[in-house]
Amino acid sequence: MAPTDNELVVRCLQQDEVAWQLLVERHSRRVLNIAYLFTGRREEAEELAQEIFFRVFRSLRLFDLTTHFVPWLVRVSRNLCIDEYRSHAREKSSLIGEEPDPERTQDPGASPYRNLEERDLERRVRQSLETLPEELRTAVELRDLQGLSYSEIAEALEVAVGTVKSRIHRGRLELAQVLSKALEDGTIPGRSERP
Amino acid sequence: MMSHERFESLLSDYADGILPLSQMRAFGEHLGSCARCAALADSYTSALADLHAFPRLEVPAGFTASILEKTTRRPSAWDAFWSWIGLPRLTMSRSAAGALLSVLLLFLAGTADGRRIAREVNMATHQTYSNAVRLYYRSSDFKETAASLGRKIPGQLEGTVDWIRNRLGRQPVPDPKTKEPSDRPSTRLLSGDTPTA
Repeated sequence: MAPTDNELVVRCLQQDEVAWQLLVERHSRRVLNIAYLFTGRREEAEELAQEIFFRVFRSLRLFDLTTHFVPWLVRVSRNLCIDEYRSHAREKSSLIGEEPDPERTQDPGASPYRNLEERDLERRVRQSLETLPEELRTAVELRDLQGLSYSEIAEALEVAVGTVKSRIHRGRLELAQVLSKALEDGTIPGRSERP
Repeated sequence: MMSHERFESLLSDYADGILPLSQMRAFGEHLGSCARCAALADSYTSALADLHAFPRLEVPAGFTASILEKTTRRPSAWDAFWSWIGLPRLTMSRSAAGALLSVLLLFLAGTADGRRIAREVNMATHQTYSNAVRLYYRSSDFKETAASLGRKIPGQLEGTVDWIRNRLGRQPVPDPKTKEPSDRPSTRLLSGDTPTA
């Protein structure tokens, strides 16, 4: 049976490099995509994700072993993104509303039309999320983009599960309204037919 | 009949697929009979579909290795040396270091004192190298003696032996049982005695 995250953390604290490697492998995709959500650029996301892991590695002894690792990891990741990237990015331009990196996730095997469609979708979601209040946006991002459970989000944001549910619901409702209105107005790229 | 407000409050559970069966029927009836709520449910699920289709990055090759390199890399012998003498590490290419040393030796060779210093530097370099070779060939003795005394070889010494092994092209360490008895018992090094030159 695979060791739990908390077991791996204990082993990391005993200088077990294999445990650290397992932990990195298990969560690198999640951390990379948290960083990507903030940067919108693949290369910058990779750099930021590495920085996040570096900070996590140095802070492992601060992790409370009676809690869960993923919410803690998400909290550390988001804090670093906010501290070290977001303020800087805001100086340049609106962060989430940035034009998506054309080379960020393109599948080399996919058709140009498919890649264009993905870019449109990314722009559409980023622009809509940008209109939400911070706390609603965070809750929606963690649930629907990062795939965290309600209880994990509650732990990560240090709020009650009920609050999380409420924020997610309100966030999705607002997002749906923004997207519908924008599609009607033609201010953001439209959806293509989904199978 | 379910109210619009009640319908709206259940949308999230419905979209997540966790709406209890007991409420599903009333929810479905309202969805089928109220055009306004049907439009809301449609835009809600479309927004969710957009979120779920948001592109995700795949972890690139070498990403994990790069993180491990950054976080768990042990300092090299040179790093340890610079740290030990308490000076910031000087970085220069081998060719630059060689050129600098050549200029220095040429300068020293031009004076009587310089020639003496150059000779001593040469001798010291040779002696250091031969001591290193000797240390490498006797590393097994050290380990055995340390084990018999219940002590551990210091990590830095282990690192030095490895470094010398690499420099010598990974020659195998001779079997201590077939080796000639050494003229300087290795226990002296471990017991803290100063070895004679």
